[in-house]
Amino acid sequence: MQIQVKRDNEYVPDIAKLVKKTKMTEYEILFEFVFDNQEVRDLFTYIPGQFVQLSIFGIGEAPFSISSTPTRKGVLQLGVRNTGDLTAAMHKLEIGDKVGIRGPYGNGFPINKLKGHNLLFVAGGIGLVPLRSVINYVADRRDDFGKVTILYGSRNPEERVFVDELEKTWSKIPDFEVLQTVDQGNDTWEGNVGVVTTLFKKCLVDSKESMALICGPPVMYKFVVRDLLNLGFARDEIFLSLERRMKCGIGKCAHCQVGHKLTCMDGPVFTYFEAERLQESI
Amino acid sequence: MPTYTIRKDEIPKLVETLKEKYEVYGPVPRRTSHVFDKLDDVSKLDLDYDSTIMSPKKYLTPNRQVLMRVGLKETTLEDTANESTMDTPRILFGVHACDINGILFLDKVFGGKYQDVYYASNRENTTIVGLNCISPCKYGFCRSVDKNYVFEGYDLFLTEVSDTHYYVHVGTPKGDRIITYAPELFSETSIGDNDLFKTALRKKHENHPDELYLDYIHETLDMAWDDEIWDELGELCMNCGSCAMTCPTCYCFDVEDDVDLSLSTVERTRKWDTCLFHDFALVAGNHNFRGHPPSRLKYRFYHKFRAAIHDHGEIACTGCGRCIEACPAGISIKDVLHRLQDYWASSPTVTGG
Ligand SMILES: Cc1cc2nc3c(=O)[nH]c(=O)nc-3n(C[C@H](O)[C@H](O)[C@H](O)COP(=O)(O)OP(=O)(O)OC[C@H]3O[C@@H](n4cnc5c(N)ncnc54)[C@H](O)[C@@H]3O)c2cc1C
Ligand code: SF4
Ligand code: SF4
Ligand code: FES
Repeated sequence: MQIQVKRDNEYVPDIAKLVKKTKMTEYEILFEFVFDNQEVRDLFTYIPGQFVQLSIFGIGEAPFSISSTPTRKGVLQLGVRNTGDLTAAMHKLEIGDKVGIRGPYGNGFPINKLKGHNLLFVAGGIGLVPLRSVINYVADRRDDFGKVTILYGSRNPEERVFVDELEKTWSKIPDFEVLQTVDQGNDTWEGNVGVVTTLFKKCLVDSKESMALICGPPVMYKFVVRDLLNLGFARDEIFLSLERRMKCGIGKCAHCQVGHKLTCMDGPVFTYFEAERLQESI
Repeated sequence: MPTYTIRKDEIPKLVETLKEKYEVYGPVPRRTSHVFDKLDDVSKLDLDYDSTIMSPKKYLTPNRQVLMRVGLKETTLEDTANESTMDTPRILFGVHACDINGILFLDKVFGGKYQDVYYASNRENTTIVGLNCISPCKYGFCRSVDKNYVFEGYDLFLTEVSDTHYYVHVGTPKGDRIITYAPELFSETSIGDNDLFKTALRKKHENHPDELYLDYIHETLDMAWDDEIWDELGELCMNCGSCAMTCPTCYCFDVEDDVDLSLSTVERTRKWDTCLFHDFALVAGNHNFRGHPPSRLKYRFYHKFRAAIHDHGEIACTGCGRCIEACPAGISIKDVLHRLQDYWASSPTVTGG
């Protein structure tokens, strides 16, 4: 069960302070926030795959997936790419600076359905941000899940995020397999070169007892899904997380409509069965 | 259940009495049409109106609504939700069934899992006096979408039963209060009044055409996704947004942080927006999920007759006809639905639309 902080006005965020900032790549920073209010700090919890609405006052508000795991209480991390007004201002934040945060919103990944299954994660670029929440959740609740395979693709070695966790943490966990690939290597890259789907041939993915979780740039979904279907995954055993423009996060502004559903309320996680029925979704 | 009659020529007196306790708004003539406006001058009230340019949604979810005020220096938040609880309660006088249905739809949008406190306080503070349409308006097609009557959503509801009288239904305690403020103007109904009411309804049935079939509209819109009609209409549509602005059920909004000149306070403000505008589905990196103009026009239809059914269990169109009247490109939602349904759902064409 999820305990929500009762609030009269859902649009008014709680104030949080930046406590840690870790540069991951030229454009991506991992932020860690702590709520000012003790009660909020105690009650704030979430499901991997949910998102928050973050305010930089004077600039606006935008949705970000939660990248930390609820199994590690008191930690709220967001991995953010610098791509526009608000995210640029975020990148300029200093330790101690205040932001507004409200949420968590959206459905998140169906943890209970995933339990007892082998999990295949397919991430592209910063698509690893929301998936990292599930991966660390699984790592912390190892007995509840089967074998874990993580396939990660990036444009080049420098653009990879969470490299330490990929190479030093996850790959060392029993029954965790991590495979990486880049579209374009460099002088020091000795790993795979090619799009993320080329990794399917390099590992033994058994669709039996398995569920697939994918997140990445829109172009990635079509090819990954096609291969997963060929491997024998059912349409409702494939979960993907979608992104749309958002203003409210709570089903009121209609900016995030995708087909006949709302990304913020019905998603952002959809099964491929649903996504196939949502016009323009992938 | 008590019902009443009131003399039509007593309406100005009723409004004058109510103005002691309420701000009263109603239809008044403006150029060739009507608008809902504050009844400073009661003689301007014209209940014999066809339709209004804007729907009464402007009183429940205004075009500009400050959500909160933020002090930038100390990061202080001031919730402005209470400010939208107006001190003086409001009455919207003479609201047609289509528009009451529009409000019932907005109730669903702004209610649900996450209550919208701004809407809720405006709604709570508003009393609605409905008005039955015995004759259809020029552009409306309410009966075709089953929105020509209401079961609820009104506090009082007036039906013209003769040249001299309205029949009055009381829907809520709020409506009952109006009766108690001016009891001398209302008479309890007799059997004769009931007969007049039935005759009025019969006349209404005869007057209102049922000219559209919406069976399978859900499937139609999915199947017609690549229909050439969208490109054809997209050529005409200027993406001006007039259709959405005037529509009683279009509710999309944008949120902006308005910073004051001294750069010390921010008013986070929501403003009407529409899926017709270019940047509605634009995301970072300049990726636009609906960059092509026809896709935006199509989406307005898709949202109203497909997504709204998923979100709220009903279509988001009351058949008020405002968008038909407002469209500078001459696009008629009724004609478009007609064409789609004729082709994709084999609907029997009743009139030529
Ligand atoms: C559910 C969800 C989860 C997300 N998770 C992450 C994440 O973990 N890390 C990350 O870096 N980015 C994430 N994004 C994308 C992120 O929201 C955008 O990068 C961000 O809004 C860009 O804002 P900006 O002001 O910098 O860009 P601008 O281009 O200046 O955008 C202006 C405004 O448009 C809206 N907007 C623009 N792009 C998007 C978008 N893609 N989605 C929603 N609204 C948008 C926002 O309201 C934004 O404030 C997520 C988006 C969604 C919908
Ligand atoms: S879509 Fe047009 S006819 Fe339907 S409710 Fe809106 S303005 Fe009225
Ligand atoms: S009013 Fe007409 S021209 Fe303007 S956006 Fe609507 S359909 Fe297009
Ligand atoms: S973000 Fe406003 S409805 Fe989904």
